[in-house]
Amino acid sequence: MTERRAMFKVLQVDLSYFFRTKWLIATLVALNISDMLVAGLVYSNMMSLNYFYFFAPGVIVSGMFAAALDVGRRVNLSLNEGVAQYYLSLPLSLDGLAFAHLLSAGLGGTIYASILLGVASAIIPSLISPITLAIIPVIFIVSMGLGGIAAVLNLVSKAGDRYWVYAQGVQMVLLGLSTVFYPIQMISSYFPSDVSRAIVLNPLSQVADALRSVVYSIPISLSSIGLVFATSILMFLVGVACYRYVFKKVWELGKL
Amino acid sequence: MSRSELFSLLSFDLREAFNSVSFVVYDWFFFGFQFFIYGVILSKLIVTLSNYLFYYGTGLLVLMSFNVASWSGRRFVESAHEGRLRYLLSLPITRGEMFLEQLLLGMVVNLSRLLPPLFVILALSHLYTPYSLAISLLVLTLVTIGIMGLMISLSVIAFRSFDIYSAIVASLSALLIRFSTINYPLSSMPKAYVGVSLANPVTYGADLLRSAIGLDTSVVLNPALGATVVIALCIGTIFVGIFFISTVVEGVKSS
Repeated sequence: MTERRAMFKVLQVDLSYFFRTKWLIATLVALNISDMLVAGLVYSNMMSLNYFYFFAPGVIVSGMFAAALDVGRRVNLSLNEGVAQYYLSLPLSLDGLAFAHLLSAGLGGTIYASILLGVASAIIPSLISPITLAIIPVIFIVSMGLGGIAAVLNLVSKAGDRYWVYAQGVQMVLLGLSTVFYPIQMISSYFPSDVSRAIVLNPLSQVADALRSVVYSIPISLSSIGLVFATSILMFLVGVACYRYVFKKVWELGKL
Repeated sequence: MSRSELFSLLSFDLREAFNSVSFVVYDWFFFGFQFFIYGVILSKLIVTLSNYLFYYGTGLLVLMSFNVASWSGRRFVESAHEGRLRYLLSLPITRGEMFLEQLLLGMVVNLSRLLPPLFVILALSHLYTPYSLAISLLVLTLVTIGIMGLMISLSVIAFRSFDIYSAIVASLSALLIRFSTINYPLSSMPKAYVGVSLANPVTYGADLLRSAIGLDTSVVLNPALGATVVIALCIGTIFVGIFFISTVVEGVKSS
């Protein structure tokens, strides 16, 4: 088995776990849609802005984040249950194994976000645009970067049950400190300027704002896309380093 | 004998539940972040309610109770799948007492997680009195028991399939939370959603808590009606839970 083939197998297993129970995925998608159709509509009645149009891209981004982190959860389970040791017996370098897991996080996030995007397009027709298609590769890169966060969590949690707590905490903080659920004007008036700048740099904010640009037919700046790529690639590299460290330790000591 | 066995089991489970502080700390962190960041920013956007921050905060308390109730149900299911239930069934306690032990465990865990956030809300809204604290805790406990009874009763499904149980609990939780007044009042909902929300007991629990705390009662349901629904939910789910635990758990296979 060549390294590329072994990587493909690991990726296939990660993704097959994620999409194993199709009706469970259907349930999760339905929950995200109900978020848009219930919370989005009700909050629209309570605000001066059309929150439904603002909120729908946010739901897509939070779904993407949850899907990318779920692949990290699978890695966590594989570390706990010893499956990682089987992976290490494959003709696969540590970098190759790390890359395969991050690639599957990227694909998991992209597929899940694309499903939500498809449904949202049926409700918000302005999302049906070539620019939306151009955003999908950006979603893929960001999801891989978010997979890097999962790698950091696996390292910090020492593959224990704390992964769940950390993952939920990080998810809440990164979504809360972004423009996923509220406009930047509200954030700027509440946080110091440095924090506001960090919130703008958050890749989740960038993707949500890019999707909103499509919804409101506003041109997307190339610099913001460049920023998404830069931050995501940085997170991806941190993820590779963390997974490399985790798997090296498992390889040498048999445990993390 | 039976009572001492019950409390031995409860103290064992409590030690296990508080063995890892990370979940308790996470819950406090969850409340702090959601209230002081998400809640504050969202309340700046809300124009129809003047005190949305505290409205949202009390909703968070109900949501946290909901999470503890879900945790209790999931824990019971996991104990069945991991074979622990067989051990519990061999103890000299009745099935009803076993169910009661699960409820007591959930109540203690719930109080430990909710007391600091509740105190924060009461202090910041200047509505703290020993009476408001006591009555709010009572309402939260009743809401938790009601939802916990429902979740433990649903665990019967998990004895057939854990995946189906997970999907049903996730869907039901999402529906109960979204179609309720946890996050927004009935007056802001589209007409199509109001009927569903009025059929949802969580709506009455959330509004009863707001009345108990003493928040602006112009957007909440009648507290007498809320108290009736919440007490009925509690009694109903306790009886259903005891019935299921007495008749179905025997012979459940571990996976």
